[in-house]
Amino acid sequence: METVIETLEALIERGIIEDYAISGASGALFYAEPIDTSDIDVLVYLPHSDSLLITLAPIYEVLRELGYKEEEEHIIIDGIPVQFLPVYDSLTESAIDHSLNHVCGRRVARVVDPEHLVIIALNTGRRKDYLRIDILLEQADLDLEYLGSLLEIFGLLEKFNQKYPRCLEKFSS
Amino acid sequence: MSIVGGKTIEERVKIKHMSLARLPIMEKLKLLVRMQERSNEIRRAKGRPERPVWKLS
Repeated sequence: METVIETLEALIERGIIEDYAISGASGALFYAEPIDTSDIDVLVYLPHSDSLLITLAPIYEVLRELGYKEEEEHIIIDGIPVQFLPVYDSLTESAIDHSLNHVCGRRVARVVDPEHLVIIALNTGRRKDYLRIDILLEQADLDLEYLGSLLEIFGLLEKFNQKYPRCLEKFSS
Repeated sequence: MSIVGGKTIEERVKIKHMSLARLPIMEKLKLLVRMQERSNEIRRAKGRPERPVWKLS
């Protein structure tokens, strides 16, 4: 894990990515009990480009130079499959902008905050995402007012209230 | 309703989950690696391909 963080920092130093935040189940690990997962999802800001095509090729190129191998949609860094996800909408952009620093061994990792993790999972909406939401709602120290305002901003308040009707009663009007 | 040590089983399970949630991140990573190892045991037994087990360097 520490090597992954070190590698992400190296990508920032080399200007390959502008910023990153660990998301998904591995992000939730920082706020709740561990859930079985096999990879690390990393949201990344890529440097501005005039091209309309978003490409992860520069990341893969550098990581190949560092000796890491690709396996399907992952790059294996120190034995851990890492999936790079370029920010693709205002929600993922906001998730990186509001990410938090967490000490992990001798490193400090940028991790998506628990409120954004809930909203990204809700937006994705697979069975495992709802399981993660359940766990975060029960175990993470969520700021419900902040969660409610984010849900409103990203147009997901209604969907959330349908799934979790009693959680944010004061925001449901 | 079963009551053990003054708490229902559901309350005790919740406390257990909360205590796991409050562990330091390195302890959670160790637990995750154990889950990955156990998950691979099941995969092996079912003849399914194994998934990587994280290294905690």
